[in-house]
Amino acid sequence: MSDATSPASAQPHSAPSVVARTELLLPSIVGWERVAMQAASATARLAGLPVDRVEDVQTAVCEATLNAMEHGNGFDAHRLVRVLFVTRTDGLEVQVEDERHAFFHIPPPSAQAPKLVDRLAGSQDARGWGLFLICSLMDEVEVVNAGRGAVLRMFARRL
Amino acid sequence: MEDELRAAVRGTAPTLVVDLHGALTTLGSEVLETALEDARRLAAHTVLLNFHDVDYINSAGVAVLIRLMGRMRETDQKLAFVELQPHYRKVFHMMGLFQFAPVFDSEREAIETLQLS
Repeated sequence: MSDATSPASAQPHSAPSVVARTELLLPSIVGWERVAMQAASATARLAGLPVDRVEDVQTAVCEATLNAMEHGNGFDAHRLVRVLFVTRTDGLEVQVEDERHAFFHIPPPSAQAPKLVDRLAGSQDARGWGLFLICSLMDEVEVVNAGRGAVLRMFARRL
Repeated sequence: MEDELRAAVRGTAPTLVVDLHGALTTLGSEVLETALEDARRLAAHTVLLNFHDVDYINSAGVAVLIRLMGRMRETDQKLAFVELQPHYRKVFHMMGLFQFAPVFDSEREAIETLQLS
């Protein structure tokens, strides 16, 4: 809303820019999500995130990759999960893409916790925490359509 | 590729410790189940689950733990978490697990706080 000729707008905050892009293509095999996790750790550190946030990103990337492997690609080893790390001046963006639109079968991202008491009682499946954790640990989460599959896009801001 | 979960039971009833080593994922289901069943057969009233040597936990692994916690509640056994890494402590807190099983920095703290023998 500021005047375009004011000093503040004459010297605006620099828009975030992309420093680097790093891409992984992983088979849909349990265990390979840890490769994404290691890459998440390295790229988050390079993006300047503090240690506790690096761990948050690691877990979120791990959960998103497992979701894509399982729900999107049915743990078919020949179907790939694409993980793209976009290191930006303001933080780290991560995109996790499956081949079969898995994330459209999941309710819209929300940080509402599943009811643990129902899961302890066995009246609900004990699983299904991945998206909750991703939303809780990252600053931004969204699902976007892609040509081949669905993409979960998430962002951790550098403070 | 996946570190296998290993578990060892030690101590004497009514309080036993289950030491976990490796990664807690869905692949560790049988190992964890066997260890907790061993503890039950050894008449454990309280089990301290020690995570000191656990370097990776995912939500599927926690789901395994939740299922087993449900079974322990049915038999009135108590469970406490010990030596969880700070990040996983945060994750467990987010999931609400500490409402049903407390967490302690050390076995000693758990034993003193819970007044265990």
